[in-house]
Amino acid sequence: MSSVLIIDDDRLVIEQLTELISSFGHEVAFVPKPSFALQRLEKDPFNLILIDVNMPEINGIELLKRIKANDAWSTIPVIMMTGEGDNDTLADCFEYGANDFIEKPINAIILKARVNALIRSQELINAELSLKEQEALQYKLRSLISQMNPHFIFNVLNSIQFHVMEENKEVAIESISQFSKLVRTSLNNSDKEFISLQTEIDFLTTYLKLEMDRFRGKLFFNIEVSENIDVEDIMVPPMLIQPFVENAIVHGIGNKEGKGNIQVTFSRNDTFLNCIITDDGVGRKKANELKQMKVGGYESKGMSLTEVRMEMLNNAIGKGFETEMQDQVHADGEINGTKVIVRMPLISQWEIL
Amino acid sequence: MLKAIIVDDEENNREGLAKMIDQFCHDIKVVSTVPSVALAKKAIEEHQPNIVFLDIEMPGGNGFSLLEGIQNPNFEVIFTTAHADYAIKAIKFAALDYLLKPININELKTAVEKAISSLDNNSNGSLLKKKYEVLRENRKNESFDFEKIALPTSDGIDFYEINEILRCEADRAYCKFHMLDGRKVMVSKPLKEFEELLEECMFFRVHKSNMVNLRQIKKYIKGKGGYIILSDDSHVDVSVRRKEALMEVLASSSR
Repeated sequence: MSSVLIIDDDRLVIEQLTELISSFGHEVAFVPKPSFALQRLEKDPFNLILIDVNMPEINGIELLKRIKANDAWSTIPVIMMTGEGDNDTLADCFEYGANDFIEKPINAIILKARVNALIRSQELINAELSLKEQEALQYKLRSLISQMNPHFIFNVLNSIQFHVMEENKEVAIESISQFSKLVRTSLNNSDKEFISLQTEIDFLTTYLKLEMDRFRGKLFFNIEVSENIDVEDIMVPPMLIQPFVENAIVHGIGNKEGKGNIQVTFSRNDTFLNCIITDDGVGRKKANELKQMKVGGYESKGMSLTEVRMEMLNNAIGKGFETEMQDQVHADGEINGTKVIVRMPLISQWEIL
Repeated sequence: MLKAIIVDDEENNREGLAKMIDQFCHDIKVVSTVPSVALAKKAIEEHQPNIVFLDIEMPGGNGFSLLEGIQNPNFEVIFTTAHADYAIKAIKFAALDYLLKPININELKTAVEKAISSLDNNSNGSLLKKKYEVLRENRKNESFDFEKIALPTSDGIDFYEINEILRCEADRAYCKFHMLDGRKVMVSKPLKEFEELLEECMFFRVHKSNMVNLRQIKKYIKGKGGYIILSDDSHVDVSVRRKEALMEVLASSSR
């Protein structure tokens, strides 16, 4: 339903217009004093504005100028209500951006035709605009994906270099082929809107194997998928989970002495896919303290990019993407890890849910 | 001991692969490494290798052209490529094998084992000849126009015209091909593999369990997802999520 705002100081005209325009099937609001008009526009969105030209305080044309000068309102179509045969005023109205006019006394049939025509054409323009916006959003989303953390890239290369120095050829070759697999997957997936959960899990596994090699016996991981998930059917945005896992490794396990475990679990209900990333690292508070002590260290862009991506995904396909962080608390009250829950809408490639 | 040769324009690639084979594949021996298709032809005549590791993108002659000049191939070829989507498709259409560079040791070992067992089962080379024919026929000048496909079955490889296929039906890890003449071929690979290959040959996956030849659709019957009637009057369900895309493909292909 479209909503129409009437700005007129004449009570009788307001009553008449309200009744007529409601009968065309639109919602109607009115302002009896032009000085309140801008405040009213700020409160609610409108699809059409009717302005009386002859009003005390601020006249209709002045009000029209102010509305059209505001970026938020300039695209709302405006019909000016003028006196009979007032050609000079009419020319002014169009000069300042009015879309149409109607002469008083108002003829119901003409009013209906003009109101509906403007609302319809505005709807078409808006549909076109939102399509363009959607497209722009998609491009922006894609450019945010696959910005692999340079710190990680160089760490992998360092550990390969180490294996070469140690003349541990098989391990070096294995690391190189895992790394090229990761780069290849990331190149292939970066222009896709959604990939199968299986592809995402493969990517995570390759990534974690490389991290395991870097941490040399200090890092262990496990990826678990609950039985009611068809990994080939369920679709997820590419490489959304990896930054959370990276964060858990760098801040949770990296700062910890001794062995660390990363557990990634996928589960679902009727509407959501949950990914839970648990680490038994130092916890958020301690990780933050340590971060503040370390000056000039590389700040991973992964997490902030991911936040932007989640917000954009919510804008693009409706709500459903959410994250939640919790401390893992040991029985004695001490914090011994972090748990991140990433919730995503359940999307089936074949709609067989 | 089986003989192998390596064809690659980059010296590092040739020597690196030769070293890997030397260390990790004890059933074969590299007898020659050459940098071009022209030299490869000579090396093949001279050494009569059992396996040829063949790079695809080389200056002065695409790796595929090597196979086209050979009348009676008696060697298995394992392509090596860094990143060439279309070439990999062509290789898959012919049921040939390939390795991605940088080469993974396990994948190298598996490819060599496969090549050896295929050589054992096919001493007369007729299957090899057919595979190379598929590759040749699909390649028009320097580009590809896929017309033939090699389908691996439980007792070998069957060769078909792509136009002969009516639809492909998923059957867990296998795929059942329904042919226009009513024959059914059980293929030992999942539907997903063929979806990637056939999607640009006028095939469309309408449902989790079915991919159809668009030229064989007689009618679409509306419904939540609806279903299509194929030229043999069989009905195939369309999934809700694929309905819109199917309509678009049908509209653009009938133009």
